[in-house]
Amino acid sequence: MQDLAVTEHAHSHDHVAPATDPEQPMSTQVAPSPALAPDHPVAVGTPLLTLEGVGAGYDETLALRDVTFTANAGDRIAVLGPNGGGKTTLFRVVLGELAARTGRATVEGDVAIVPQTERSRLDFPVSALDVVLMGTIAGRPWWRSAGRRDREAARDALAAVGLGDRVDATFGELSGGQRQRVLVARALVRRARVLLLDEPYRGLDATSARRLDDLITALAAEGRTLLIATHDVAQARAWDRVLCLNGRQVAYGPPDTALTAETLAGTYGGDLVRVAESGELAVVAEHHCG
Amino acid sequence: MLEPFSLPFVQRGLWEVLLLSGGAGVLGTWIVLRGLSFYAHGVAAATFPGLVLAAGLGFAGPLGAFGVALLFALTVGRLAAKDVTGDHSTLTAMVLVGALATGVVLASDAFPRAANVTSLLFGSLLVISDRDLVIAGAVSVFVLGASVLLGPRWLAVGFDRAGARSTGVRAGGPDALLLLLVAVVAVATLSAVGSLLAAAVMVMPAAATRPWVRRLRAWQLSTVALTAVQGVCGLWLSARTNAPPGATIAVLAGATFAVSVGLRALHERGLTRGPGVRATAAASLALVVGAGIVVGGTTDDARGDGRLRVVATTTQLADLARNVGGDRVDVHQVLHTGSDPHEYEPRPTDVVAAGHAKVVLASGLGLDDWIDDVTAESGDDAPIVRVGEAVPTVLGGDDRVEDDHAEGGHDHGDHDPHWWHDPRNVEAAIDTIRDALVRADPAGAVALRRNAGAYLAKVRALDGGIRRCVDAVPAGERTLVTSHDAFGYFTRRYGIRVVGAAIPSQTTQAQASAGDVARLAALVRRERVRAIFPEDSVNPKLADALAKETGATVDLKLYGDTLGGRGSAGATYLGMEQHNADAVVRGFTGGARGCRISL
Repeated sequence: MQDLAVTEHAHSHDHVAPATDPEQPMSTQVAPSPALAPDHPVAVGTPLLTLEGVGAGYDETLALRDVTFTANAGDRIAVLGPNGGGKTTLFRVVLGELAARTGRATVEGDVAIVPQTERSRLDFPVSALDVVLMGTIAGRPWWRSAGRRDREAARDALAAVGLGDRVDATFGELSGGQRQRVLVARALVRRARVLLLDEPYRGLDATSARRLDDLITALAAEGRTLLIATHDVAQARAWDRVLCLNGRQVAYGPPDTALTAETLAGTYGGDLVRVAESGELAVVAEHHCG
Repeated sequence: MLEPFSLPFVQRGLWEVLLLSGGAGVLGTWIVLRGLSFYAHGVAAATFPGLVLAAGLGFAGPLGAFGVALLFALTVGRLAAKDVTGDHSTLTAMVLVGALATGVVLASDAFPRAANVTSLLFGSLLVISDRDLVIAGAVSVFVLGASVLLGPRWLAVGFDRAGARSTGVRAGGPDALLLLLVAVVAVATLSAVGSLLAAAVMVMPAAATRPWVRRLRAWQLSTVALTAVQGVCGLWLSARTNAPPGATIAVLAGATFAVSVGLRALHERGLTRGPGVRATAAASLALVVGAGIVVGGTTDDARGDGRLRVVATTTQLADLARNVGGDRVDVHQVLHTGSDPHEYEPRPTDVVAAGHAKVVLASGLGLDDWIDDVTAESGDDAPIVRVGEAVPTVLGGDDRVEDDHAEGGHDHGDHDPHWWHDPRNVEAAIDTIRDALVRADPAGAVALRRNAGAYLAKVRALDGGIRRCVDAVPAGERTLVTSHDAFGYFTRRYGIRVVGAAIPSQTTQAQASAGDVARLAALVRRERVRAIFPEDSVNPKLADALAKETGATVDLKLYGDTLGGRGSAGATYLGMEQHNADAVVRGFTGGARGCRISL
């Protein structure tokens, strides 16, 4: 276990493993290459991410406080909350970009984020492979350019997300779902154990969303922890655990216990109604304030 | 058709263009990709204060330019590092304004006589030195190396900044180096196209090729090729049409960009398929080349009539040479009437003429030092005769008389270069020119001496005539206000008081401060000055403002730096001085009296 605030990218340089490693477990649903599995595979259930009383912010006031939870290998965790609720702050703390003001965040292995595809430059003259290769830069000394091994790893990562046949496609010409998967591949090529996905379902059609579901499940089954930021309560219900944030940790646990009327009211304030027929709770207003 | 490339100075320009195109082309793609176009233009334009400092303190121009460009890159980079968006435009604008303001203050107050700054701002491909070639080659190698090593980082950070950071790619160092490289390339392009047109070489080719490529490597290769082709075509066109090469390349780059964008728009509407479009493209290309040949064909570089070939830099010097040489000489005049000698970019015919010349006449005293570059480039060994350095009266920059002006010989920074406004200086100049022509053409000695004698008599008559006219005005009323300090010799010779000038400096590049103008206005009122004289080749707005403030008349013009155009009163040296004397006397007397001199 290591303190994130101190060892930001301490693991970035340990990833020059052989292209194939017979000891790596294979996934059954999607078929990622063993080369992409985390460095030292851990059994599902091993704690990978532990936060104890974490508070963090950008000025005197804390944007997020009292966050305490443990995420295990194999967990698919929905991070639910309104805009400004602290999802981005949490991700930055886990990535090591933002130091925890209070408490402690520790992570086992490497962390990678999958940003929203709208944040990337669709006009860049790059192929899907070029984008995935960006994930290998930090793993080499600055004077080395991408070698054969990096290219193989990048191709494997694209195959793992089901884009093995779109390696040479121009990134900006792919569909939204395909671009999202390319960015997942960029995170995979770093052999990260903990993946942070920033609203990956935004703008995806039903087919693309289903493919992404399968991918997330397959990646978790290989012993990774995935944190999936979302606005969508129904979406959150589908994962193993839910973390509700609204400036502080409102609830953490399996969907059944974490998603109650009280915790949702605490997470979303007044913007919540009970849907008449199903009795389900839904968020009616989304604040698009960044 | 290819004969321009056989001229040695065009070949050097060609090498410069080819050497630069590698670095500038590759960097151009990064500039466009990372949204640094305005920064690239800004850092090139911001070299101005460095050029002024270099000229004022006497060290190499590129060094001064590089110093300022480095400072510019560091400042923008440091400020941008604190800005989460990584947007450089606003920061560039602010730092650019600061740099230009510093340059203007330096040029106006600290080093008012750093004359050739503008020629550095525009540069010239026709006077490329070995140093320029070495700089261009080294810079290109450096850029290519950096692009191979750091390109993946530049790409990743530009693609998505947050994603790159989270994958462990550090933006700081590589981005700072990118800004620095843009500054270095901007300085390298200074000598070729000058700081104001650097974007033509650095940005436009990459912008023109961008719509047609889908991968970085292809983009970089095609941009390097286009930069080289544009440079070569621009140089050829410039040599054929006698246009300044830097501007020609810039115009060509702009046209290519426009055609590229236009064709792309058609292509996206599905209109470019089929042979029709290809035929149109070929036809327009042929039209451009054809126009170049036709225009180029009209310039005659054949000068084989047996007359003595003389190059004279300024208009008045060319007039003196024609009068002394008569029909024995063929004078190539470098500057044109009405143009400012401080703003000159050599043209191909100037270099060719200098190459053929037996005598090169320069005005000297810092006015036209660029002739050194032109003759050096032409490979000519004809001596440069600096006529102004052999005249009896040389004024200091602040109207002091310099008695020992011949000392040192090359330090003209402190002299007033407008020596021709004292006819006695012109008498000495006629002797100097006559001797130089006789040395080059001994067979014509008799005719040359006869011409010189006759012209000398006219100049003496001019001197006497002006003195009589001015002496007729009471001494207390001989007060001159003009927008240019060019008339120190004239006023000193004829006992005229100069109250002040709206641009208090020897060069038109300096700006008058608000305090200067206010002081002058007060002075004009106190001295009851009746007329203000805007000089011909200087923007007369300042003098106008002064006149409005004080009620003095401004419609009387003086010829200062250059002769007037063909057919104007000031078309010859004698005409210019006669006109000036007439205008001055009219100004003194409120229009009651003029000055007529019969020569």
